[in-house]
Amino acid sequence: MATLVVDRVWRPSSPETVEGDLAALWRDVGRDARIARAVMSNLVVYRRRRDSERRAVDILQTDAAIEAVVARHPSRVVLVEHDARGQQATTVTASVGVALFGPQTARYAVDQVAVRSACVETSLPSIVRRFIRGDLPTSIWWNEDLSTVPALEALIAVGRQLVYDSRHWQDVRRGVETIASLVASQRIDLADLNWRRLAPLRQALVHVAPSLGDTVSAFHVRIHHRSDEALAWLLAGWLCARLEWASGIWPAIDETPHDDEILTLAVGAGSTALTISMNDHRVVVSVPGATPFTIRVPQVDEAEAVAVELRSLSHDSGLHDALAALARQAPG
Amino acid sequence: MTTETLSERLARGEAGPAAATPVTIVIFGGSGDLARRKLLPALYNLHVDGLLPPRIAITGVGRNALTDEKYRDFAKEGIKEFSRRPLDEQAWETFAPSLFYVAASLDDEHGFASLGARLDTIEHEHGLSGNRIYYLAVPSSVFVPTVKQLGRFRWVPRPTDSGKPAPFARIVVEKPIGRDLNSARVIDDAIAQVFDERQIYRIDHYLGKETVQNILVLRFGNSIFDPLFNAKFIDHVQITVAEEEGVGTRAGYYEQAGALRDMVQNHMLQLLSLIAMEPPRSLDADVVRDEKLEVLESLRPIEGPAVDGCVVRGQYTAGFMLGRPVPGYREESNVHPQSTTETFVALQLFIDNWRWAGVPFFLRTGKRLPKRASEISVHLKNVPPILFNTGSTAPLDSNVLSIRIQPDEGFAVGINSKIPGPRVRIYPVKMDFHYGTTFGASSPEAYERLLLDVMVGDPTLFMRRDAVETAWRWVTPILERWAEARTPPNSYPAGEWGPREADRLIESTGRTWRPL
Repeated sequence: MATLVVDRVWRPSSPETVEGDLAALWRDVGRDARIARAVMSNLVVYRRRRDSERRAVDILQTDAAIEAVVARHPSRVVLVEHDARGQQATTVTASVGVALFGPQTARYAVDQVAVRSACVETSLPSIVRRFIRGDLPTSIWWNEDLSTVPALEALIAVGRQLVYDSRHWQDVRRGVETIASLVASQRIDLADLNWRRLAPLRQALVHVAPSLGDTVSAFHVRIHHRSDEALAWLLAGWLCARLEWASGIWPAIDETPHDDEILTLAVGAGSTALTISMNDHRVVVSVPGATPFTIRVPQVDEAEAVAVELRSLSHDSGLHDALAALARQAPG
Repeated sequence: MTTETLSERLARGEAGPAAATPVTIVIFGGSGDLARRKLLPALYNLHVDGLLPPRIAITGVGRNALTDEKYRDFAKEGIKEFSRRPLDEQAWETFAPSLFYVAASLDDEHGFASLGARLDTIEHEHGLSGNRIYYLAVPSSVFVPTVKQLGRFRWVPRPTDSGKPAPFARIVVEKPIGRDLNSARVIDDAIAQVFDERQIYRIDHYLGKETVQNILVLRFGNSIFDPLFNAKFIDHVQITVAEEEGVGTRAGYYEQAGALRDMVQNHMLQLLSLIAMEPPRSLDADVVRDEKLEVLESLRPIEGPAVDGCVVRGQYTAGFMLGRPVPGYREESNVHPQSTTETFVALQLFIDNWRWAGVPFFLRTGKRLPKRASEISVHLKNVPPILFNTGSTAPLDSNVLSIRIQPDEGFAVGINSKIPGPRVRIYPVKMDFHYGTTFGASSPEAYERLLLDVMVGDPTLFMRRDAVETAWRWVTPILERWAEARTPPNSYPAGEWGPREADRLIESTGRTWRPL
């Protein structure tokens, strides 16, 4: 477990003086102890600006979720709270901070820049580029529901990776449509935290695949989910892509809100069905005529999951193929 | 439509479990210290990370009469005490059912027969296909009889020509493999009668450490370093493996081994071969191991009287560790009062190849040194004594690349830099990389990585027979010289950096040991 923040300092700044103010903060924190300035990447965190009265300096003081991520993957945080309603009059305020982690003998710290902006979308890159370090990879962590707050094209342009969580999607169909253009253009690598949650179930299916024969028809597949429709859709999209189901073919997906299992996949019917069911702790695989077996579900909190994605920085072909299949074939 | 099978299509793009093939791990010495401290916690952590094969049985074998339940209690206690993560009850609930225990005597045919019957039952009940990994967590004196029993009971299918037996059998052998070249050959010959070399995994846990694996990445994944790694730019290299502990409860083994056999012949020569090897043409296990072997084969022999000038041995006497008095080696329990076993070795060696011609390598290791620290430091040549290096009383520090293996894994580069101000004053600053700081999450233990590699069938991080025997061939003349000389080792007080002679060894070349 990474060390949580042990101290933090911050001060109001302005867009023009961010680097100078950060340097001054570093001089202050480094006066009494040796502190490593750790930066492996830029982490641009996007949120919609809701409270116009809140100051940029305020949002740095309270964000434990971001600190938990950068404790695990030290990054320069650029936290953008943006009002994208298309104002012509641009307003941008900024504040800077330094968050310190680690034991006294191995203290390290990261830069934090908070920006509150209200401007046209096309001007947003000029703000973000000013604050990121260009020689490092830039990941965008979308702290909003992509199905209701679509990713800003302008921001996508400066990033290498988009991290989001489809579990928060209120409207899965719209979420898929939103992400479809990014999948098609392949301009940015996608990292869906929900896809990571699905990994043990995919692993289980790969393991029992030899017992499935040469082909699996979508008509023999049924997916039950407790309350995570996006997770069920991701599974269906992946199966659709990997099993090469024809256009218009789609498995049955049902919501079973009172089930103990988060997600259950059944292939076949009745006593001959192969079932794979997943809860928060394990996946149970039941194959007709064989001893059931379980796979451990790794216990990973959200901060660790985000940090793992930031570290990986690679194109996840499975996710991209699943999303492409969803965009192509999911019922409207 | 693709021509891939359904399995291949589903597996495409999946990281999946590193080890997917069902397997039974049979730990001989399953109720012993190594199993409790290292193997069972490592397997538990692999389970927590979802890296174990979905179908697995872990069967401890030992002389103690334990039930499966008692063995699970034994494992749980070990995990609680030694796992890098606290025990998670829910994870334990899914891990424990894969643990079994069989009480059997390794030299007793009846014991082996009953072990075989139990393994068959476990495998049948759990849908396991008979793939087995035999882990010899037992004293080396029991290696040969155990392996012979495995052969006698026909538990070891040989690999097919494709190298993929079905089912497979692999054996993991812990060091020490022998105590000199001849005894190593006896053990290797006995194992080779039953197992093909491709089935043998000689474990050196140092090679499973992240920093050690990072040596190749550092050298061959960064264009800044590789051009410097040769006699033109490198002045010398130091490798230190320092232990705080005394001999503790291992006196029975250590009295027969000593520091040269315990540390130099295996861990330190493996580190040396990684830091000095030529770039392999691929990461294929045998290609990497061929290049490492080349280094060992290029070591200039140290034989006869040359041993006295190039190798220093020491033995700790009573002293202080963190202010507390500690006994000398000869006062430790189960140590002979006139023991001449060395607890410290320092030596200078040369690698006679084009890259390293004339570059001295200094190795030192010992017990009861001031701190636990393992490090490789690569010392670059000094800049000429002009411009900024003209002060004869305070020459510039040479640039040093230091690779910390434990504790606090990471590496650092020392660079001379101007202190801000009107005058040119130079200060050596350090660019320091800490694994823990940079990558946050705790690194897997070496045994986790190595056990996973055995399950996957990747022998890259394991020692091949030719490397083990080449290392023994180089070390044995030193042992023989010491045996002939009959002089006692130099003494050093516990808590000091070895005997004074070790300092003289390096100072005679105009260099000093790097302070740690």
